[in-house]
Amino acid sequence: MKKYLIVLLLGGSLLSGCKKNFLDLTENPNYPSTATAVSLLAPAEVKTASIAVDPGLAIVNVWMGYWAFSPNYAVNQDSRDYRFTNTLGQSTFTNIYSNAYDYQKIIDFAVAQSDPALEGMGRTMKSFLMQWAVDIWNNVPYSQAFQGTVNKAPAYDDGRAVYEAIYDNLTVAINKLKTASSFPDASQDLIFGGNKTKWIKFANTVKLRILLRQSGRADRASYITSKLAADFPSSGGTISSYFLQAGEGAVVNPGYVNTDLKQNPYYANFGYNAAGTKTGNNDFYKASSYSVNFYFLQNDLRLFYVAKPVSTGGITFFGYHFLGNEMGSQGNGAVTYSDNLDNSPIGGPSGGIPYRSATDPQPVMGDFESLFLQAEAVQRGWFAGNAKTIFNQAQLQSFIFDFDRVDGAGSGAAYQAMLTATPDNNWDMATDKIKLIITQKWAALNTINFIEPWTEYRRTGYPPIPLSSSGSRGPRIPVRLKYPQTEYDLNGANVNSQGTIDQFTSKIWWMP
Amino acid sequence: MRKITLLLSMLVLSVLAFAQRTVSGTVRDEKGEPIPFATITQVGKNNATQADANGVFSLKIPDGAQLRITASGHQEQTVTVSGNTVNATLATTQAQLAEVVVTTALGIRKQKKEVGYSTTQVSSKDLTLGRSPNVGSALSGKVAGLSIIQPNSGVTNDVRINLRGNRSLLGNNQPILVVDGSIININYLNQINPNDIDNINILKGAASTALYGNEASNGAIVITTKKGSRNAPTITASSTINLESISLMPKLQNEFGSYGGEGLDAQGRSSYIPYENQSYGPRYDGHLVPLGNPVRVYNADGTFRDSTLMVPYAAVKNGKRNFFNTGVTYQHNVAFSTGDATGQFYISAEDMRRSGTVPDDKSARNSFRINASKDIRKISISANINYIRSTYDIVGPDVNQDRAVYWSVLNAPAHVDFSKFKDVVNNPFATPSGYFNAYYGNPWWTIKNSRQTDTRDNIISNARLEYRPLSWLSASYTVNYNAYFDEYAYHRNSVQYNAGAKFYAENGFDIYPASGGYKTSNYPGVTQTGYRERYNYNRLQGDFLLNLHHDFSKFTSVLLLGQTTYQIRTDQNDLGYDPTTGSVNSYTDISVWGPAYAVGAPLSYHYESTRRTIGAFADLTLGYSGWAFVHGSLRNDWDSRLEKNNRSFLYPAVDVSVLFTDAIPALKNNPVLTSGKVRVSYAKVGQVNIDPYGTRDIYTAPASLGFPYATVSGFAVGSRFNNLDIKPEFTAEKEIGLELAWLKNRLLTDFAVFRTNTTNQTLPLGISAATGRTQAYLNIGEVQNTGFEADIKGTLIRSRNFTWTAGVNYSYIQNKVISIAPGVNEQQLLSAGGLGGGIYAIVGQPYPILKTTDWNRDDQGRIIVDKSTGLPTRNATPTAYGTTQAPNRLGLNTMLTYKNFTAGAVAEFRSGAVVLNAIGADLDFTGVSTNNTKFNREKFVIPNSSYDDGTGKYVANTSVATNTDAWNFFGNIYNSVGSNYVTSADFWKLREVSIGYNLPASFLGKTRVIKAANISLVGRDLFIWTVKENIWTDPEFSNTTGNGTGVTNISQTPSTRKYGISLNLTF
Repeated sequence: MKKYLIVLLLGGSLLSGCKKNFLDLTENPNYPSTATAVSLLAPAEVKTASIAVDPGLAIVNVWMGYWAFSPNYAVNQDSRDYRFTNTLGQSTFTNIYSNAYDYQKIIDFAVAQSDPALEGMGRTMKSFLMQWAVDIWNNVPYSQAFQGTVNKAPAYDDGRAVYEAIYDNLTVAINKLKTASSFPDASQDLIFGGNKTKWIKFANTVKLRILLRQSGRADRASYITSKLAADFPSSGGTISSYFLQAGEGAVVNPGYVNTDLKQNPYYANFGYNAAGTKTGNNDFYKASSYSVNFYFLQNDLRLFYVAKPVSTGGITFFGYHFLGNEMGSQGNGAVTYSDNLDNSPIGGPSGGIPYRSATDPQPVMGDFESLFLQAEAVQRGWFAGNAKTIFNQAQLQSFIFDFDRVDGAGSGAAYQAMLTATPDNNWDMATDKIKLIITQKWAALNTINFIEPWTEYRRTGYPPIPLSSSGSRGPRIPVRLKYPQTEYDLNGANVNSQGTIDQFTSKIWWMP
Repeated sequence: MRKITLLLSMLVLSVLAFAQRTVSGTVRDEKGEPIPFATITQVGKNNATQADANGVFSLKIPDGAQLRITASGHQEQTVTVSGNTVNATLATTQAQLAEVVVTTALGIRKQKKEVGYSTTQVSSKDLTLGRSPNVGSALSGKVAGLSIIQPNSGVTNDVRINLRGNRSLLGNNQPILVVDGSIININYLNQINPNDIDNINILKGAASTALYGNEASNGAIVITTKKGSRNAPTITASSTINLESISLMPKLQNEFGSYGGEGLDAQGRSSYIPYENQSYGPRYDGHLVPLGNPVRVYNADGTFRDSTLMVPYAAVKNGKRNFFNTGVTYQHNVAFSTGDATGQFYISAEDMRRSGTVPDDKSARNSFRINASKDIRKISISANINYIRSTYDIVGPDVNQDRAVYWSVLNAPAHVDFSKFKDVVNNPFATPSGYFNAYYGNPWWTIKNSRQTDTRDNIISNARLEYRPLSWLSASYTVNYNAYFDEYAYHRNSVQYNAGAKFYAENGFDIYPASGGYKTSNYPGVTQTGYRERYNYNRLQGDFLLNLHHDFSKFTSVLLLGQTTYQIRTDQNDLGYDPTTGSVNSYTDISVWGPAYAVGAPLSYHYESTRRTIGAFADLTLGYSGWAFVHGSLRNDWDSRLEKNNRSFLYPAVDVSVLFTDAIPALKNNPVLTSGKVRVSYAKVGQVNIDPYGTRDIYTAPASLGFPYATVSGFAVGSRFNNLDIKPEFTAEKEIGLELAWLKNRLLTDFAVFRTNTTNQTLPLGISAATGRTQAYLNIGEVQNTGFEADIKGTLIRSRNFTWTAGVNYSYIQNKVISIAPGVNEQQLLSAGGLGGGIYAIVGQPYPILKTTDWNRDDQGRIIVDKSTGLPTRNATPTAYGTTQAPNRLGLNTMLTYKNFTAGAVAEFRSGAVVLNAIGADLDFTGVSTNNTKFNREKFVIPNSSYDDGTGKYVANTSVATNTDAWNFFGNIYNSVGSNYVTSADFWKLREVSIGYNLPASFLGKTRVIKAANISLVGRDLFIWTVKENIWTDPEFSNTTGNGTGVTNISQTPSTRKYGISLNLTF
């Protein structure tokens, strides 16, 4: 009998004799399962910079007259004709929300760690991104978004309500930033290296962008007036103390190098891979004749920054040939087009010093962009100041950003001075100053930002970009993207409640 | 525990009450195999006992008494006892249905009458009928409720296996595989040598597998391999040669040549474009045309001349089919078997080599097995070791666009004769520089220069020690170890384009604009690329089992107590590849894998996981009078993949079996109904359906954003929301079955009705991106499967020389999603990519449901077109088209034996499902399918269409034709709408046909060496019938072996038929 009991005990011991932590294996040995707010900041900022040139929005550059299709490819006629499916821009939607969630996570950790600096930065960046979301899709999930598994199908909020909410969130952010005493260092905060003043100015500049966006709507005048009075009283500072000034751009450079995945995001998507092979997009898109002519006729050297010369043909500019393709011409058989393969939207003189490289910094919001906003605000009478001075400074900073890095200090200023004055670039010659400001912003943002030029075009109608020459194109440049197919697949009830979306008539709320 | 102890002591005491003197022995059959459950009766007395599952019995009898030994399926024997040991050998006869012995969970053998749940046994003979080189395809159509899907026709032998329908929405739905008692990964199924298999038992329901614990909620495939013969040593040898040829190609147009939207001429006609990848050009007219740009042919001294390949502008007959080879499979097997009364030994070796229909694709398998056992008094030891090395060497993606080689073949214009482009080194028109196509590479170059190779070493082993101290008690401990070491390598050679390729790609002919394309954009070429991945898997398991049995007058009882612990470790190492970003290194010299040769930073990846499970169980079977049996089990598992508070879970199973023809005297000896059994079962099984570490969110340095940089580091939340609260899934199954034998076992019927409900589904779900991430692990939803299974076997004719048997198996599974989550009515499980929609679970509908985009339609279902352009638009909201899992499955089999000839066949029919032929969208993009020639490539009025007349009213469209050419319509608009590629997935397949001849003994007698010889002709998948609308491919195919089957694409090469000859010898 004893013998059998031993056998039984043996079995029992196998059951219970194991070490207490024998089954404690839920901790992933391959990755950490927790983080601090500050450790999440740099990747989130790198991601925001990449969204500014998101390849999902590449087609917008064609609509905006920057680029045309290469004649060597029979492109998808739908997007050439301004007609497109719900998958266009889908990746951008995912990227914006994913990135905004990264900042939400920073906010959550910062609140738990009582870190007002990171909470303020998180709130600023989240608001910054959500403005883009509204600018592209109008009504979007906001109040129910970013809740992870708590709400898997967030409802859509009215675009105007989102605008007001992110404005208020920026107010909270600024208050947090003001109370903060400890900020991350330059290796942790790639945008401003933990500079408190610049972060507050940046949040204010986003506020200004939000207010200017609504400036075309008479019904928003009182809202704008009340916000300006409350947030930017003349007693509290000057325009230059409120907003980002020259040299204070929100620019990201984590140490981009010529290694795949570590390249400047624009260069990686529209230039060359680390081995030097052209990307598909580089082949696919070429400079447009509209943009080539725009820079050429004004003796604007930024043409070198936005297009690569061809070997022969086209216009001759400082000894280099540039040949733009006509938007919408592809596949018609009716127009002559360039068959040169080099006319890519990645700038640089052939055989000389390239103006674009894998190591370039990537602006989230360049200093020139902030200055153009300020010039417009002064021009609209919102602030005291000299609009012309600010405008010229904005234009100068664009040249400096494009050229000083490669051609040496002062070259940007020299190139600006070479401009042939026209109403499109010269304050005194321009009769419509707003048109001038927006047109120069368009000229400055070429290949730097895919969202803002389109947004400002939709707000103001500037510059007067010709429509695609395709005979079967839609009636106008699209005013928005359709909601992503993934939303119809995964959040169907909420997205369908937004009704039928037409890319030509379903306006963004702030559009006049 | 106290109750169990009490029960145990009762059993012990009742045995001790018997007298001390007993005779013991073993009952065996003619082959020396033990006969389980034989009845041993003292002649003339009411003193009897039953042998155990190993044929071992003991009985107290007076000296000189006679024992009568009876066993189902064997002739009765009477023996006179002398001494204390009796070893009896019984001759085999036809078995009674209820007394057939089946192997149940944990290798416990039971008489079928005891079993209250559904099991189906497939014998070695049935399994190897068609001489399939792998077990998975050999099971197709042979078992009701068993679904075998062969998702492609390659040499890698993938299969997807499922019992009684999908119950887990995204988790594992495949049964476990048990080989000689060891639980092993189902992926082994096709690694096992079919000739080694003695029998396969399919345990379909939860009740039958509850004892296996949380891995077995989807049923089990229990394989018993051959044991050594207890008689004279035997050698068996067999050789099979199978040929394989293409049986089904997509329907391809032979009317129009190359053009891809380069611009219409003044008359609005497309021109012929010699380098194009699309076939939207002018109609074939037979005159000579250039194929591709002029090619610069270089001489050794660097001089060159230009040459243009001229070909007739006419379709090449079977040009694409002829690209494929006839595949050949050789399978050689030899086995040696020996043994004596107390031990057995079996050793086998197999060599299988296969070449595929895709040129140069090949695979091989070598396996060795040793099975041995020895009884030493009350101790039995046994061990099984199986080593398998399987390899494959198949073509990789092409250099231009990373396409499958099949893509480059199928999408070529019809006037391309592939037989002319084989010499990729010397033929200037076949080299990468000279090949005509500006976008897709020469498939022959890809075959020679882009290879994926894989070597997998498998070990399956176990050792078992069993101790039987008393006739009613045995204890055993088994150690199982199985592991595989997999090494995969992919490499693709570099390409250097010559200057001529660049020149002509850029400048082209004056009749058409420059081609651009791949050669120019990648001039001067691309470097070598590839990566290597090592994956190790090992599983170590220890099982302790105590088996107690005792009979109390009319009652029999068997109690099992068991405990099991296992651990699974995996370890993955990649060199030159990062799976988190999909990045692959380029190399300056790939023959040396060292990081020094990588272009850019060398990529690597490492991931390891460990999981452990402890299980404890009790299992009791009570029998009454040999006709009523009640069986129940209780198991608790502790699983390391879950957090502490959810880790432990308990589940019960109970079943009842009544042999009513024995229970009711009036039914005994009925001339029509020979025997009948009714069974009822209920069981619940828990399953942990997540990968290790699925509960906690992870933070990674996001490689896709380039992190870490030289001086900047950081983390980001992983791409999926994990979940600390994940709990096990539970599957509850109710089943009623009726097994009847008619006309003295000439007709056997087995019917079953079951319902399974799986709750707490654990899914990595796609969720709205607005949540912050696009995927989350959640416990949601319930799926219900209600099914009916019928298995009918009949002997139609049985005479001295001629036997004809036939069988039908049928299953119908009504599968329904009961709930997903509060407020959630449907959930996408897998995306169908660009066509929109995908595989969904929808409340109240079968799972999985295919949804995809359709045209915008009016309320009458007509396609809405634009009044001025005649063009329809795609509706973004996907429409449901039906389930992709066939609810009706019918298998038919028959066997004829005439003297020394045997002939058999197996056919299978599946119906009720739909398939999304995504391959069709690709073929319409390039224009090679007959689908896009329906309207002669002209502008046409879309049939059954309407337009808004301006007032919001839709009027029938009879006049507004599409205002765009076929290239744009079919290649851009039509092929973005998924509904154009949805068809019924119904099919009939003639799975196996075999004609065999046993060489007569008179002939063999002369040789004296050969004891038996058989030669057979075999064929598999000889015939396939699909619906007329399916012009693309085999509807059984799928682009995944996961749950979301039902979408085919261009990664599956055409289905094939196999036919061969097989020779079997026994020495």
